[in-house]
Amino acid sequence: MFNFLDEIKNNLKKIDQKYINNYNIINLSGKLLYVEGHCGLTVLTKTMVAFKIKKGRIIVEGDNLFLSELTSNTIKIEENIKKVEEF
Amino acid sequence: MKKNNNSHFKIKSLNKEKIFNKLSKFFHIYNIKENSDFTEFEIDESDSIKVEKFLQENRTNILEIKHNGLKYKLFKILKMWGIISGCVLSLVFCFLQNLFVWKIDVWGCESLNKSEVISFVKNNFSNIYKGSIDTKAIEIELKNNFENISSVSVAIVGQSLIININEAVIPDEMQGKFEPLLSEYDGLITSVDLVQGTANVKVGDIVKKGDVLVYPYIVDGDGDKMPVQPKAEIKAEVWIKSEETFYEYQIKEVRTGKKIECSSVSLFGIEIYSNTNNNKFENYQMEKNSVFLAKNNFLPLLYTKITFYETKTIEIERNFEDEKENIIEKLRQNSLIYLAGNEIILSENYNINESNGVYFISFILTVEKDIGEGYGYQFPQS
Repeated sequence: MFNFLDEIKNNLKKIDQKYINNYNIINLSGKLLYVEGHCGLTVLTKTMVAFKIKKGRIIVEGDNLFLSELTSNTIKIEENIKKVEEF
Repeated sequence: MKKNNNSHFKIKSLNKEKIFNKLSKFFHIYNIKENSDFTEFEIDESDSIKVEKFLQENRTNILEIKHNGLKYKLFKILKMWGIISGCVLSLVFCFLQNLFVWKIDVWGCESLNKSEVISFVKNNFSNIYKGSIDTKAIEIELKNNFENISSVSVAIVGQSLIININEAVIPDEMQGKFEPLLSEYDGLITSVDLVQGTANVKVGDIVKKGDVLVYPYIVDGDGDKMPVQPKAEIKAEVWIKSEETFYEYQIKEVRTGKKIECSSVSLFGIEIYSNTNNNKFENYQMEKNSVFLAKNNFLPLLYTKITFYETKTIEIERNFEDEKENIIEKLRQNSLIYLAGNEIILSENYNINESNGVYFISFILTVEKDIGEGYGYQFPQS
């Protein structure tokens, strides 16, 4: 099956592949944030969702946030997403 | 996100993130929403028992579990004992009432009375349990008890007992009361066309109204009389007669037009009101009418009205010759009234007899009529 993210990764020849396989995040117009490769939730509130990744943590801030889907390695965050930060 | 067949959880936990992390390793979790007092989420309905158990093991306070979807609704219906017991009772009732016959239908009755057949069956076969109804026995009993039944079949259809009757067809000659065929008019027989029975008249006979034309029997070779319905077409010359008396000199009493009215009201024969005017007329005619003022019987007030008409005696002198034509035409019209549409007028005659200024005029219309056509019957007496 065609994987859009894999295709993009293959184009990044200058960067070592092992550094770009930790996680993937897609932000759809600030309304939906799709995350692949999370390692567990750390904070869940209406204004902030935080989760661990392999080498760090990501914080998503916004209004009325909720997780429309949660599996062992994916998250879908919906509503008004204002900021995504990696620590 | 699965919308059908899901379970909605409301939980309260201090470390909800840890709970969701653990849950997400085994189950798909949807719509996780954080509220001030609780957290809600959805999972597939099939996982609800496992999730509930997991939450209990992890000492999570479950506030509410709601199940949605067709599967759960069906399951919920199955747990509604009232409906289930109602359905079961209905089925039992249907089954029980299916064992009995509740209605009797009679088909094919024309001359036979349906209610008579139904009441006969009800009286003689009172058992309504299907298993004990012997349709053959009903058929035999019906045939034995009703002469008009030629054949009958009885069947149980649903909750009805269907009785299908074939009525016996009795030949025409065996029907009726075997009355003789009588003449309806006075006349001279002109033709006799006998169909059935024994003729009592022949061409040239003069018959009176009520005379026997055909007897209701035939005589067989052994001389025995066998009753039959008399049938014949008998034609005769019939005389239709109209008469009038004419007086050349006549004294008549006629009303002058003056009248006096008296009225009274009485109750049980006692007069309670009266308006009496003295009758001053020397010659008069009196008319008396009585009517009850009310239609009920509680107060039978009787209103009586007496009218006196003054009369005078006048002498009338007329000339017969002047009015002869009118009188004859009037008598002719009177005779024609008795003529049916298809009858042939054979002749028209009139006779005038005079005695002391009194004329007796009779008009005779001779026509050919069927005087005994059809079956034997009693014609109305005029």
